[in-house]
Amino acid sequence: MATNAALAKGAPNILQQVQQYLTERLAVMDLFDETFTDRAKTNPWYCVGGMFYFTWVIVLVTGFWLLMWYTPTIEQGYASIEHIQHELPFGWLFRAVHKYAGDAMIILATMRSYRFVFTGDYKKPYEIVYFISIFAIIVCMYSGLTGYLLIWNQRAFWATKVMVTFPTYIDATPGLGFQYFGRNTAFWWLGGGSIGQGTMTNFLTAHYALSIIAFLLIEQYFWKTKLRRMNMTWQQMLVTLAIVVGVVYMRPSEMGTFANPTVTPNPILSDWYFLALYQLMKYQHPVTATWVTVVIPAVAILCAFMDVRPERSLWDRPGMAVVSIGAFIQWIALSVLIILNIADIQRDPPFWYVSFMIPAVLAGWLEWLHFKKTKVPKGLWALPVFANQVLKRPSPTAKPEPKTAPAE
Amino acid sequence: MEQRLTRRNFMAAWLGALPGFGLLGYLIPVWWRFLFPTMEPFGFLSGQVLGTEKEQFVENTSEMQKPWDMRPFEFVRQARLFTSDGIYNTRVPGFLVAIPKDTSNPKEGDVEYRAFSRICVHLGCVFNYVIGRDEVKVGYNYAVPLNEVHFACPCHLSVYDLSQLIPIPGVSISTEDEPWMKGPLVVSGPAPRPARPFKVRVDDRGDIYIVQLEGGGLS
Repeated sequence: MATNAALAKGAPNILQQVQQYLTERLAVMDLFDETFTDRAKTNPWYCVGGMFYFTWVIVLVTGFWLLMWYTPTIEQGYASIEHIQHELPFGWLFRAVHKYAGDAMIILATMRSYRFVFTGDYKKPYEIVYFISIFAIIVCMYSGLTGYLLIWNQRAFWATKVMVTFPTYIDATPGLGFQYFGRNTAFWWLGGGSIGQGTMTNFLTAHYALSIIAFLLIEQYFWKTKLRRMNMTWQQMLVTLAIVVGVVYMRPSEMGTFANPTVTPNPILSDWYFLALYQLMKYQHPVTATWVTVVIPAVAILCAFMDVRPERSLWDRPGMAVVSIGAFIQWIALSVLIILNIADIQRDPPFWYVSFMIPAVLAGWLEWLHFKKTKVPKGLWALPVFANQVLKRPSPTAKPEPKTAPAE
Repeated sequence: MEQRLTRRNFMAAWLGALPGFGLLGYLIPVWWRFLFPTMEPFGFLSGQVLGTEKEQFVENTSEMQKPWDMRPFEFVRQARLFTSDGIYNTRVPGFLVAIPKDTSNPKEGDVEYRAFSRICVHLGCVFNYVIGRDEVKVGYNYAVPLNEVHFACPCHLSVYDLSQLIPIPGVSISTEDEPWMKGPLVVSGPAPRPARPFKVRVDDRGDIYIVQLEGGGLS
């Protein structure tokens, strides 16, 4: 048989291929830019990982302090935070630093992922590192959401309601209704059938666990690799801290009003990092909106596997440049629209579908032009050669293969 | 690194794996009961929830004779929760509305009583009772209102038209058996189905009672 013949020749079987694939990628593992120390000396973009770790430490320290004074019940939670805010010495400072350092983590994680895209660092063998950087954004967002409910004010209450209800539309997807996955997820988050004490206990646990479990795993990694955790000088740390504290003084954290389950305020906004998703929820059928929410990070991760040509400069990858910058602009635009409370459900969705499509088509066209200019023989023969190139996935370090004469 | 798959190591792998699967078979149900105490055993296959409902008085018909009269109420359902009591009273806010039988020509006294859960079927916010075309146009982005009275949700701007009641789609119960299984049509916004109706009972003295809520929703 063919498989036996292959085994006899010593060709790796599928498990061994997977093992080899993972070994290659885990060898260059990088969580906080701790292996990019040389580049960080000349390029400040490579300090972002270190800043991320540093803000995380700030969040942990202030978090422990806040946890000592916080009462995790729906009756007393709001009052205990009022006590922290108004009566404890420097309580307002600790609480605001905790909040804004958490926000800074989301910004820094996003910046780091964008750095991977812009510099082409996410190409082989850094796919898993890039995957982890995207995953870090999601964990940070969930951490922010779970932490936000603890104050039990109106914004937190309704943001949680929306966030916990949206998985139920997974069950409304045609063909997926039989397993009640979304409904069970919602019940698990809620700790029952509605938002109550169970939800708050769950969210406090999750808020705590998301940081602590990750921290323990990462300590294990650093203990094994003996790398320096924070790739920063003390001046850079001081600047980071100054930025966070400066924001605290410019915009002290708010209290909101105590949650009222019978009144939804109008208009109602979520936290800033969910605003664009929130606006998209207004435009789309909820099933579509749910899957779009799931698909966005998946597509971001897939970019690393679609961008296969060895070029690293953004000018040589026009498609990825248009897609990544366009996505960022649209995210900002949607956030601005919801803050201004502009949503015409009849008028806007077609406009937005078109404006999502234009950069995608433009990206494909630019990529095609660039490809035609540099790599491929003219005519229709470009297509199979292009497909071949994609399938072969040349590594970024490998030399370009000698050109073969086009078949005329 | 050459490892052949032989008959011997294939059997050895299964010998190790079978007790492992057995152990998982013991642990997963225990873990599942721990995560979902509100569900019946095997309830995750049907999405069934433990909870009880009690009939509840709202208003007498003599107080609600005018068309579009409305009374807000809170319907209490006892649900199981992760609290130390294991029980939590879920309060489902609702609107009891006197809907004119002829919506084009509303007359005093010629009304039927219907109640709807205020929890938006889209993503669970609580919607408002909005009277007037300008309010719903300005506040909730519904461009061309056909009728006067709407439910409108502040979160994602779903608007339900109370003058157009339709049977709940996707439910096997027919509206002839259960005439209360009707909800207001969604005329604007992302909500996928009509609002969730309550069963309403009017007794001999004209007292209006809320009996039960259409099942299936989160509150």
